[in-house]
Amino acid sequence: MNEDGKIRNLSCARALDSIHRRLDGDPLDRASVEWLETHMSECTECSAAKVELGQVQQALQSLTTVPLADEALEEVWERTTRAARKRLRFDWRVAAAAAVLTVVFIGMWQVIQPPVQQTAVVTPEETPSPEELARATAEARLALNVVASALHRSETAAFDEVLGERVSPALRKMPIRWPEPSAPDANDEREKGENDV
Amino acid sequence: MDNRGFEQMVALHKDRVHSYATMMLKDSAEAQDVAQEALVRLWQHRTTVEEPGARPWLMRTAHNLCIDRIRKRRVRSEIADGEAVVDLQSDSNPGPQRRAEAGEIGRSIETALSTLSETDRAVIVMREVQGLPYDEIAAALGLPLGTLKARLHRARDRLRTHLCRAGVRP
Repeated sequence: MNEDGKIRNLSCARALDSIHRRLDGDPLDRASVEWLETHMSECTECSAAKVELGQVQQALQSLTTVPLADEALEEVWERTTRAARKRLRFDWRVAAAAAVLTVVFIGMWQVIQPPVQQTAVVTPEETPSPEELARATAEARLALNVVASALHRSETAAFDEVLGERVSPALRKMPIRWPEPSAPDANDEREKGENDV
Repeated sequence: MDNRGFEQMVALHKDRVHSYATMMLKDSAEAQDVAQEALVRLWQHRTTVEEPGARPWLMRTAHNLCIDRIRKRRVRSEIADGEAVVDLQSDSNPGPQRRAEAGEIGRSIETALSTLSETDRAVIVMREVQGLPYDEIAAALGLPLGTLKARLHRARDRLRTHLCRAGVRP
């Protein structure tokens, strides 16, 4: 290839690139446009290429869209949104069945379970009178005396068991006297007297 | 994307996806399967795909599904050992676009398209037939923008050459 041929090939490659860029929608600067116009006025091959490439592009753009068939689209809906709605309906059925079963179970449980015994109705007691309180206090003290005597006796018996009845006679002589609330205890008076001394 | 958004996206892009699959596979039954599968996959990924990104997502999915099918065809044809070689150029089941307005030039272009590599064909169909923006095509096909344009120029030249050799003036 001679020098002219090489230059021509380079120029044609540049021209072809510019033609493609135009077809791509890329803007060319003014100098490039002028150069391209000049080249194509001199080069029949590039001029023909420009026309043919433009026609190829137009032919491609004229190819029509191929719509998806309705049956195919129906299948898509069946596999997507409708399937989801069916699942949702199924969930509601399960929930409704569970609710019914729960109600039935509670009903059966109440039937099977033995009746609950009625607890006595507790009525608030009336406020006791002072006489009743005094009587109750006296009875309580008497009971406490009895308990104390029993404790004392049991203590004496314990000592008897340990010491062989050597202390029981003396212990038995010790009177057990419960302090009277109204009258001060004899021991307290004795202690008071000692403190005074 | 909620159910309503999904239904809108399907209504908007179903024909585009189907057309793309038809031009890539030249088999109406397979193209229908691919379109359905792409739409169902959009449903399955609806929580992660936003509505503005649904079209490139669908095109990328449809493209990958088409490539899978073309590869399986090749494997099957190799297994058949030449007895039932799949010839894209002699498809006995004409695509709907063949029956459409394209006429002789349309048929010639369809035949010329089948001579391109899968990626070049995808670039031509997405750009020249469907008019998708370059960045969307680049994202769908996983190509850099420069490579995408180079492939587009090359594919145009090959189509032109094929049509000229076939004696068809576009």
